[in-house]
Amino acid sequence: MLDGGLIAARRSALLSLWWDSAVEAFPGETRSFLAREKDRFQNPVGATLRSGLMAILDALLTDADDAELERAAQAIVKVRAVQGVPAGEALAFVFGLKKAARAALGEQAETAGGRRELEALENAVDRLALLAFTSYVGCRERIFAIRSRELQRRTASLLRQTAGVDLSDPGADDLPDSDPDCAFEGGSTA
Amino acid sequence: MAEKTQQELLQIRYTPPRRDWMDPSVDFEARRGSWSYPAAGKNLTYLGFPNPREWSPADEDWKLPDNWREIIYEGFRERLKKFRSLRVFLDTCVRCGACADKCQFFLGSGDPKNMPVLRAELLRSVYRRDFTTAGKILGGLAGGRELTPEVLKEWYYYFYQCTECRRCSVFCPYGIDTAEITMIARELMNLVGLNINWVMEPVANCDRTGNHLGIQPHTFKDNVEFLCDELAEITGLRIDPPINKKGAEILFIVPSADYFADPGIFTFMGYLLLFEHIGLDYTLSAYASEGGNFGLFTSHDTIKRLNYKMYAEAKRLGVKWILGGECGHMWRVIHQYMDTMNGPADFLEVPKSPVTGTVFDHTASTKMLHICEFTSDLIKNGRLKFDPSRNDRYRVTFHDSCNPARGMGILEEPRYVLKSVCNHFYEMPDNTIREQTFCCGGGAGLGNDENMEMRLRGGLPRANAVQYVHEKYGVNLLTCICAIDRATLPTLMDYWVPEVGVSGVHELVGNALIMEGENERPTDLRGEPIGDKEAASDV
Ligand code: SF4
Ligand code: SF4
Repeated sequence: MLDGGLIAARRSALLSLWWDSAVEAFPGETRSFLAREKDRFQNPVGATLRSGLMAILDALLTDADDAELERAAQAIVKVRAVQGVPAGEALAFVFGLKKAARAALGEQAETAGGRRELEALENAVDRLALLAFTSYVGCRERIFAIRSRELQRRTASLLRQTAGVDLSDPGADDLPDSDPDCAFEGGSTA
Repeated sequence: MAEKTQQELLQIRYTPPRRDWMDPSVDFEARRGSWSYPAAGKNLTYLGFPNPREWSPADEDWKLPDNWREIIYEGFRERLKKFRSLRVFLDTCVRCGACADKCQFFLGSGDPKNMPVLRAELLRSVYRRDFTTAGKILGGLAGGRELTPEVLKEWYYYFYQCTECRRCSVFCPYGIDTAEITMIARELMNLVGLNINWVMEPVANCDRTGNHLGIQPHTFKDNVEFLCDELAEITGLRIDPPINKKGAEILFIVPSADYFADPGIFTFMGYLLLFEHIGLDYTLSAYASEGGNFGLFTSHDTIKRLNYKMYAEAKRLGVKWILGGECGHMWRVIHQYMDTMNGPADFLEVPKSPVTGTVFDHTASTKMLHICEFTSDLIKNGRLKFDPSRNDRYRVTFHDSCNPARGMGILEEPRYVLKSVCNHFYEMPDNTIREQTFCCGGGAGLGNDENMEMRLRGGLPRANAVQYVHEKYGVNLLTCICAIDRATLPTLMDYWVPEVGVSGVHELVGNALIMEGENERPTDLRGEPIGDKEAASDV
């Protein structure tokens, strides 16, 4: 029901407001850099945020299914999961969408159509939050698995040689899934 | 009720409280995963370093000597006198900001104190207050800061978050090298016992046994023999590399991980096949059994002490010159420090390829040649027989390791070698390679387990470029010429681009070399079927 509606019509204003709220998690000096540098290779976090927010919003506006929505959120979550912030802070950007949507609609937020759309979007954001949380946990589990794999790699040769033990390396495919299909930077090329 | 909750939610401020950057306070407990464990007392005792003790950065009391401030001031004064470059670097920064967004740790973490200009400012502010006239008069107004325990703790946090990669220096119009500032800051911290174990344990081991891992000569020999057994299984060729052979023409030195850990061991096998292929008169040494020099992350004196061993061994064995393997910071030390510290190595001869006759004049002073230069010359002169299709399962890209690339300008040779031994080679975007290469995130002693999350952050820009060539060209192998990279990039890939594996350049050389008398090779050096076109992201 959001497709082609009031919120969709305000897509770019909404994205810009959502961006502002998402980068609030970063210190001031960093915020301006994230917005300023457009080269995706010189600013991977900014580029991931930019394309990620866009992908999520488009998924929500087109009523995408859970799998697609999770994939859209994955890129940002994967970055936030290693930035040394508590889980709540890492995922705060998700909830920023509610406020941004309301602000983007302005007076239209109080119309019947606006209220209906906001309610639908807010429900979708709740769904998004749960999916993002699932993938955040997936990322964290992957980090733990990677840590033990690194240790194995450092000692595997020694064990083979001194104890004749051949550790079967699980291989990257068998690590806990943080959705390897998903590029953490989905934006355009340089 | 629901409405109220929603309103409350909207009120939440996600912004951390604003603080002046000069306010130093690091909550080590909350930031686990971003710092390295301190050096064990036994390592400092062994090396004769000050203040050996057991402690943790998460403790309130760091057990510093009572007069720690005087010790650091005195050390600072000494170094300002000794290194003119230090005073120049501290004085000339105009805070133009050109370097600010060039550090991968800033790019990945978003923490402004990882901007090189602010990292350097941690030291510069103390310098300004206490070592410049303006600072002595104006104090904080001149940007000066008192050296308090909090400031010292901040030094520990941020100077052990710099991999001394020198990326920032490429962009500074004044040539200020923040890596050198980090090196001095670490030297000063060493004076009061603030060091990390991932640096000091390798340094102590290297001092004692000749390599980071503390491997003794008999184990070194066992390791090498074990790898030769594996090589015999794959190729059907029995190779017995000489160890400690007096009178050999060339001493060959590698980073210890190459004969010890996956995936470096496959690179080591590649070296051995190459030397067998050309019948080289060389020797390994069970004493100079480490190319890496963690002194670079400790102090100038320690660099000198560890570097000396390689030359002492070359003298003892009576070789003509030294060939060095795919190591990172060994080359930075050789290229930038060795000559003034332990050189010139007059007792050796200028490296000359016994196969092609090429004389490598640019090594006339250090007498030490990089294996990629050696192999490129062999290829250029048509002395090697390759079957590049044996590497067809790989779509390859090359990561310029910071030290060989920025530290000594080895840019073309590894590419030339790679393009000769494999059919599918693709470059990452220009602003992420060569002089502008991004660090793996694990150099300068930061490649340890407890600091892994910081590495994943700092390695994000590198991984981002790998992701790009993976998507665009199907790249599935990231090659490099540094042992630290070979240890840390697999982890980075496991998180960011799990479809991509990691290898050294000479592993692919070894795969492609057509050896006289060898078996029909069913597998490559990793034991993977040669015909298998699947990606090898499992190493
Ligand atoms: S030397 Fe490298 S790690 Fe250190 S501040 Fe400069 S860019 Fe960052
Ligand atoms: S680029 Fe050089 S002069 Fe400019 S802020 Fe960085 S260190 Fe200072």
